[in-house]
This record gives sequence, structure tokens and C-alpha cells, in this order.
Amino acid sequence: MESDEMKAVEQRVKRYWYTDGIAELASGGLFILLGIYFGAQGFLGEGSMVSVILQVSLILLMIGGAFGVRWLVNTLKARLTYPRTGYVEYRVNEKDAKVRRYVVAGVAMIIAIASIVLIDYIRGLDSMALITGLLVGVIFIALRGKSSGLKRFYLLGGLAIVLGVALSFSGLSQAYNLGLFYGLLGIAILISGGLVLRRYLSENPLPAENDHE
Amino acid sequence: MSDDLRSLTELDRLIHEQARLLIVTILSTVESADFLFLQRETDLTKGNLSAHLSKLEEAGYVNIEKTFKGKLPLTVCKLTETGQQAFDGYRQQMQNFIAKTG
Repeated sequence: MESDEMKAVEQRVKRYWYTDGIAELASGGLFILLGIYFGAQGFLGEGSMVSVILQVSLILLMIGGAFGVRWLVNTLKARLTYPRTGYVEYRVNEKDAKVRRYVVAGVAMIIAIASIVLIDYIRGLDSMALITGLLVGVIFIALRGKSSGLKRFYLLGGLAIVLGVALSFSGLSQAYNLGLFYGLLGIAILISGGLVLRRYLSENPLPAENDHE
Repeated sequence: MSDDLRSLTELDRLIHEQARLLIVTILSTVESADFLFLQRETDLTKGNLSAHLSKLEEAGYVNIEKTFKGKLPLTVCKLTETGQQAFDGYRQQMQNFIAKTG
């Protein structure tokens, strides 16, 4: 086996995490919740009691969402994926993860600074939608797309950037823009995950009980 | 015997075999993987995969554990430290050989 073949095997194994679309379904759900949250903020306006409660609950939503997504993904994979195509536990390379985090943080900072500078030149631009769109897009492309080599993550990253740029010129309030951004992107991620899951389930029927070692 | 040929004969024969090399490559990428996953990825029959895994286990390259994930019984395979070192060494030798012979 050539070195290139070994690399191809390694990437195929890494890609296995995304083979069933479950991770996308969970993160799409979380994005839609964020969309509803920001949409509600826009509808209620600033200063209302419900709005203040919603602001506080965002922190809980973010923390709970991260744990919730992890739990949901693991539970669904244990039910749907592991009995069909096998169980894999991934290695967490702390050094690589740290480098990736620094790179993403660096890119995020550059985008944020560039966007802030840009606002001075373009009046009426919603910087938050622009920054969020660029940031989410870069994360999809640089982290998920590049590591897995899956085209659908490049498409979702591109969609995030297009949505962010388009909404920044929409003239709507910041909260509505963010609500639309997360809601629309969440729907796109859900559709992508749903299609992948449907194909996965049809291509991988549950093996007979005694087939499992 | 030329240096190139000598370096080939020094390759770890246990890992050099196609199916075992595939198993070790997969296991080197992950923390652990179960029998079903390995079977699907390698396209080996149950018997063949078992035989190769037994050889790797005897050499101390792979650790095999029967466990449960929820209610699902799993045969989980994990590359040992010795196995990882052997694989890294093999990979280095192959890269050197390819570099020399072009």
C-alpha cells in the first residue's frame, strides 16, 4: 500500500463521523433554535422583561446546546450507526486541536477587524450578520470541509458566507438578520443531514443480530 | 545485497501484509474501532479478519476487548503503543525506500 493510499484510508476513517448526517441534523437543530431566539429578540424589542430573560437564557442555550448536541449525536449513533456500520472512537489530538483553535481564532480576528473597517465605508451595513456569516462560513470550510474532504461542507460554508453578506445589506434589524441567518442556515444543514441520513439508512440495512461480533 | 534490497528485507513482515497493513492503518487513525467497522473497511470475511487480528494481537500490536455500547455487544480493537511504534517505523522505512528508489 502506497503512502497516498494510506492517507486516503486515514481520511476515509475520519470522514466516517459524517457518514450518517446525524451530527449535521443535531447542529442544524441547534442553529434553528438560535434563529428562533434571535427572531424572538427582534420581535420583542430591547428592554422588555421577556427580552432580558431571553438574553440570559442565550448563555444557557449555548452551554446546554453543546452538551445536548453531543448527547443526541452519541445516542442516535449508538442506535442507528454502530449496529449498521460499526463503532469508532476518535482520538483527540490536543496539539492539533490547539493549533486549529488558534488558526480559527486568528482568522476570526482578521475577519472581525476587516468587517469593522469596512463598515466605515459602507453605510447601513449590519456588521454582526456579516461577521457571523464569514465566521461560520470559514469554520465550515476550514474545520469540517478540509478535515473531511466532503463537498457538502464547502457548500454549507459558502451558503453561510452568502447569507451573511446578503443579510448585512437587508436593512432589517440586527436581531432579525441573525434570526434569519441562523434559521435559514439551520434549515439548510438539517436538509443536508436529512438527505445524508436517508441515503445512509437505505444503503446500510440493519444486519441480522448474530452478524455482530 | 544492495542497501535498497536490504531495507526491504528489514521491513516488518507482520505489518507489510496487505490486509494487516490496512487494519493497522485504520487503527492508527482512531482511538479504537469495532470488528464490524474493520470488516466493512477492509472488505475481509469474518474468518480472515479474525485471523489477522489474532496475529496482530499475538505480536502485541493490537489489543482486543469484548465490551458493550449500551445494549450492543462490541469487539473493540485498539492499536497498542508497540503497534503504533511498529507502524510508524514501517511507514518511515517505506518512505525512505520510495525516496531512494524514486
